[in-house]
Order: sequence, then C-alpha cells, then structure tokens
Amino acid sequence: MDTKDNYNIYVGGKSGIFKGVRINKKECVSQNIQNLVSITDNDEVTTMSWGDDEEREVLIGCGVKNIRSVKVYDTEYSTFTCSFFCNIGTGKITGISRYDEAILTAVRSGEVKLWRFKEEDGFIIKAGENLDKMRHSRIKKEIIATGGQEHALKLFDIEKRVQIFTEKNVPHDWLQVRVPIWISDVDFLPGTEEIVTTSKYGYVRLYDPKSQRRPVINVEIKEEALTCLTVAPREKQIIVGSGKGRMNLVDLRRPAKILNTYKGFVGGITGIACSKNEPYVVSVSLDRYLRIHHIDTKELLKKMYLTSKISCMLLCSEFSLPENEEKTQKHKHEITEDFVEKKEDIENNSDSDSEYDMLFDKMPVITNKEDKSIEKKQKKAKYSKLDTEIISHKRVPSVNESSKKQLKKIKKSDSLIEL
Amino acid sequence: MKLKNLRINPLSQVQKRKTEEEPSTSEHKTSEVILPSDSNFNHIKCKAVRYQKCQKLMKEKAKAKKEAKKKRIQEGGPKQVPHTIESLREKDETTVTGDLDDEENAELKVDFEHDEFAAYYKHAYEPKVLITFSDNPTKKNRIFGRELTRIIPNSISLYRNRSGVKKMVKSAIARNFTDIIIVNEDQCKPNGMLIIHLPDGPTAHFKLSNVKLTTDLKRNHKEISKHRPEVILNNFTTRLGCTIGRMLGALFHYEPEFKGKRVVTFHNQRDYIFFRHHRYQFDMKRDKPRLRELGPRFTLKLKSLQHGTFDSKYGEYEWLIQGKRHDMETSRRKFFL
Repeated sequence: MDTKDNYNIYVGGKSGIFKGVRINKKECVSQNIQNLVSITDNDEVTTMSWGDDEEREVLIGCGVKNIRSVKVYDTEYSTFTCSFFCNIGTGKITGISRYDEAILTAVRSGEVKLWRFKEEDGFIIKAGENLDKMRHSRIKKEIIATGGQEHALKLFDIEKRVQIFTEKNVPHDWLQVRVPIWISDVDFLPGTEEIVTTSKYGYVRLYDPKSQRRPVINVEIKEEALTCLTVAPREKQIIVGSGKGRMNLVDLRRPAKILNTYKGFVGGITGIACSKNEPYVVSVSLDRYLRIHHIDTKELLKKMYLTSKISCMLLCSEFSLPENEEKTQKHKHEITEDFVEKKEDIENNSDSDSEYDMLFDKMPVITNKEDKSIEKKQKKAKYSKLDTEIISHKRVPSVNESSKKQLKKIKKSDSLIEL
Repeated sequence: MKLKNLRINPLSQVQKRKTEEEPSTSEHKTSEVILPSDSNFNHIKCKAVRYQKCQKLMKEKAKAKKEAKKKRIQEGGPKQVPHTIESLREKDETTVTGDLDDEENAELKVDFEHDEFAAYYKHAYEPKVLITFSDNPTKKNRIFGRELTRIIPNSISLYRNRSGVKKMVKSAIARNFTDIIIVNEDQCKPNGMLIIHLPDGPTAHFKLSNVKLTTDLKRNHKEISKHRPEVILNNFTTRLGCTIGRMLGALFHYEPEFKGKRVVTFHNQRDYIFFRHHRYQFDMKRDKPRLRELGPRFTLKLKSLQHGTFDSKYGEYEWLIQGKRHDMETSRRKFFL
C-alpha cells in the first residue's frame, strides 16, 4: 500500500489516542496522528475499520457514554476528512463500516444506522439489545452480522432491511440448562458464506447459514474469555485472543482443533490482525504492547511499547517484515513439503489474475490422456454434479499425483468462479 | 611418592610432567625456594592446625576491613553504594522518566488526564471508601478492617453479609462510594486485598502479608488522631507502577490536614509494597524529623490489575501474572512496579 504517510499499522487507544505505526527495515516508529492536546474524555476509540478495499480510509468510532462520534481519516492525505456525532441509541459504537458511499454504524443498544447526507435517505435497523459486535461481509456488500451478550448471531440484508438469518442456540447442557450466549467478535470466512464467532464464555463457533442454524463446529477453550478473532491467511484457520492474554490458532476443519499458543502477553488482547501474504500475526493488548508473532514457529518477532492502552488496531493487509526475511526463508526450508503444498494452494486461492494465468500455463504439461480426463471432468461437472463419483472412479487409476493436485486446484478455481 | 607414580603409570613422560608440577607443592629442583603461602592452608594435613590457621586469617581480614572503613569515614570519603538486586534492576522500557510536562511524556500526560483517576486528581470528588471482608471474618481480620478505617478518611467497614462482589459494586455505586476494599483471609490471617475503584474500575488484586496490628506493635489506637493523613507513594517507577500508585493515592483525601502530622507511606521495593503509618515531629537539633510508628503495618504484592470493575471470569486484564507466564520471570532482577 503506497499511502502517503506509510504506516503499516493504525492503533486506537482507550485514552483517545490514534496512532500510526511504521515497521520496516530501518526502524519501528509510532507516531500520534491525533493531536494530543485536542483529546477529550469522549475520544476513547472503540472500533476502527478500513473504509474501502484499497485501505485508503480509516473509519474510527469514538466515545463511550454520552457523546459518541465518527471520524474518517484519509491515509493518502494524512488528515481527518470528516467527523460527525453519532447521536443514536446508547452505549459505545461497536461496529463501523462503509456501505454504498455512506457510513454504517452500530451502537451497543442495538441500533444500526446508515448515515446519509439527508436524514430521510438513511435508515435504522433495530438489531436487538446488547450488541457487542457488528461486522460487514467482505463479499456480499449488503450483508452484516451482529452479535452480543444474550444477542444471538443475526445476519441482516441492509439493502432490503430484513433479517435473513438467526442462529439457533446449541442444545441444553447435561443438566438441561440453557447455554448462555455472549458473542464478543464475529467474522466472515473469506471466500465462503461461513461465519465464525468467538464468545466471552470461551466458545469458537462456525456457522454455515446455507446448511443449518445451529453451529457447524463448536470448540471450547476453557476458562478463557475470548475477546477478538482474526482470519488467518489459510483455509479455515483463525486466531483468537482472550481477556487474560492468551492467543491461539484454531483450525476449523472438522474436527476442529486448538493449535498454536502464542506467548509473551501480560494483559488482555484487544486486537489481532494477520498479514495476507506473510505468516505474521500482529496483536495489541491492554498491557500497551504491540506484538508480532510468526504464525508457524510461534516466535515473538517484535514487541513495541505504545505508551497507552490500545483498544483496537488495523493492519495493512500487505504488511511484511523485511528484516526477518532471512529467518523466514530459513524456516521455509525447514517446513515439510506438505505444508508447502498447502501454501501453494492458498496462494492460488487468492484472487489475483496473474496467479490464474500461471495455473493455466501449467496445464499443457500434462500428458494427453490426463488432459482428456480433465476435460471430461470439467464437462461433466458442468452438466451434472451428481456424476462426480463415477468420475473419481475413473480418474483414480490413470491420474498420477501431480495431476491430482492440479485437478484439485481447478476444482477450487471453479468454485471460486461460481461464487 | 615415586612408588605411587610408578604404580599409576610407569611411562616416563608422565613422570616428567609430574615433576614439572612438583614446584607447586614447594619441593626442590626449582631455582627459587617457594615458601608455603600464608593464605592457603590446604597442604597442612592436620585438620586442627589447618582450622586454627584459617580462623586466624579470617579474623585478621575482618579486622583490616573494619579499620579501612573507619579510616574512610574519618576522611569523609564518599559513601559506597551497595550492590543490591534493586540497584542492579533490569531496565524496563515503560519506566516513566523526567517530568510529566516534558515533551516525551506528553502522551502519558494525556493518558493521566483521561484515565479513571483523572477526576480525583482534578479534585472533583472526595473519596468515600467501603471496607469489607470475606464472609465470617475472624477477630483479627475485623480489627484490621477497623484499623484501615482509622487510616483512610471517610471510610466505613461493613460486614459483607454473603453478597457477591459484583452485587456490592452495584450497590456501592448507587451509594456514591468511590472505592471498595475487600480483605480476604485464610487460616485466620488476612491474605488478600482487592481494591476496586468505582464506577469504572480498575480492579487490583494484591497478596497481603505480614499484617501487624497496632496492638502487635505495642501501640494504642488512641494515639491515632482523626486528622487526614499525608500520603507518600514511593518508588513506583514503571507505567504499571504509576497506575497502582495513583490507585492507592486515590483512596485518601486529596487535602491532608498537616496539623495532625500523620503520614501514611506506600513504599515499593522489589514489587512488594510496604505500608507504614507514622506520626512525625520536626526536630530543629537534628536534621531528620522524629518518627513514631503508629501501626498497623502490612505488605502488598500485586497479583493482577483488571480493566473495569471486578469480573475475574470474563473481564479483561491489564496485567496478570498467572498460569504459565514463566517467560515473564526472566530474571530475579526484573521488576514490574
């Protein structure tokens, strides 16, 4: 991202500060963007998000009790371009995003409002009490998800202004007591319609609105109040953080598993973000530190003191640590082939055209027989999806390992195109 | 000797080496005569003599050291600073240096101006403190609570009546309390202290130890006047220490009554916070004021600091040393306050 002020990370603090952090080869600098003198009691940053896909704009939700406001920061011109008071409902702003050129905010009392220039153009959706998190879908721009304390996960279509999905609570426990809900963070898995939520009661749940209302996967981390999550740059893996300062990698493929624990935290984690290309995870916590871990080695690569309590963070998706390149290269050699394959898959998954071209360039290398089989497969897949079993039978004896892999890739690319 | 060597290794080379080593045991064949050293008695075989000589030497050494010290003091040389764990403490990057108004501390100042204690330090309210115990407090714990009410102005000590902490927080906010102190006990000894700042936190949990009541110090509570005490917060250097210091300071009224000449000290040393309560008197003849300890005294150690009011299960911690945090305990010279 070639922004003018070149910050990799933006953080917002409990005391009202708004900072940019630059991490590159030479230096790690954090600078206050918000003027320190102008900070008032009502400036506590509660939520932040990117205004657009190019990550040129930062939307900031401020304030806790009485006066809440929304600020828009432009990273290209490094100025605050716009700000207005969010005088609706009560409680802090729990979600903010941009929809159709206007700003959408959600407050704790449950009102989701689209702020238009003219009052009557906007609208309000009442999502329900105790809303702790509102998140916008990345693929379908008209879908938002909400969740909170005793506020079940709901999906809204903001174009039609209707609720399209509500979760159904998990069955009662062995004492026939209702299982309480307290969703602390919601996110959409990229490339799918699946939604993952974390709970203060220590659950990570995966929902698939297409198949059922109850969670598809339910993992529990005992005795930890999970506060935030982020989607790792792999298939169906997320990273969750807790209020006691525990950060885990969670694999949501069936059966779901809790994997790596990242160390070094002293206080509760308030924000996590992953780099899109590199295996790094950046996290901020209430102990005033920003930490960068390597996802696989779990190694703490960098630690930075930011003076104030940090409540949220935004990371440029193309963030990388240049000085650690050597290390990662070394690491790459160490990891097994299996993992490399996985990684390739992931790279192919990301929707850039050049990589597709690469993929298609590779195709003619396959011998004629296999070519035919692939063609067959593609045709059949187009005509009927039921015949897949037969195809797989045919394919198994003839196709060798490498072509299998490519078939998989094609499958995936197909599914992506369908989406 | 020779026979022994032969038995061990008959090779001539080894023997040569042995002979080379020989001078250390003060044998012949060397050009100079080496006298047995007067500081090493290992070669003496009689245990009694060896012990005697060793004792003599040590006494002499101690005497010399004492004389050197005496001489140094007489000459008025500089006082040597002892090497303690405290003075060799590992540097902490969160340490607050310099004045608050410095440019580097600008952000810290903003932080202080907008944190939960800002209102107190702006003298916006007078603190009102509720002191309570665990259920069924024993006599010692009750007396300790009562003594705390004597120290902290505008405070009352109440029985808990089996109510939960979260409930207490709610009702205390409704009754305009600004802080709650809960003293826990185990085996009839106070062992924990929870300080909750109201209405928005933070909550600090301390380990409480070495509680000496006024009577244990052979003092009478009648000595303690009703004047508001002065508060000394000593040696809270890091950012976490600052928060804790501010929290402890916010328990007391911001305007001490100097007439009473009472002073309350929270002294931090190696992460242990020592509490002492004194009455002072200025003495013109001496440089130092005269102090009389009034009691009680106790020691606190921070266990956790939580953001917001008490919620140990689902709350967010600012600082917590619990579980497998051994990576935090890098060395014994690392301190957090």
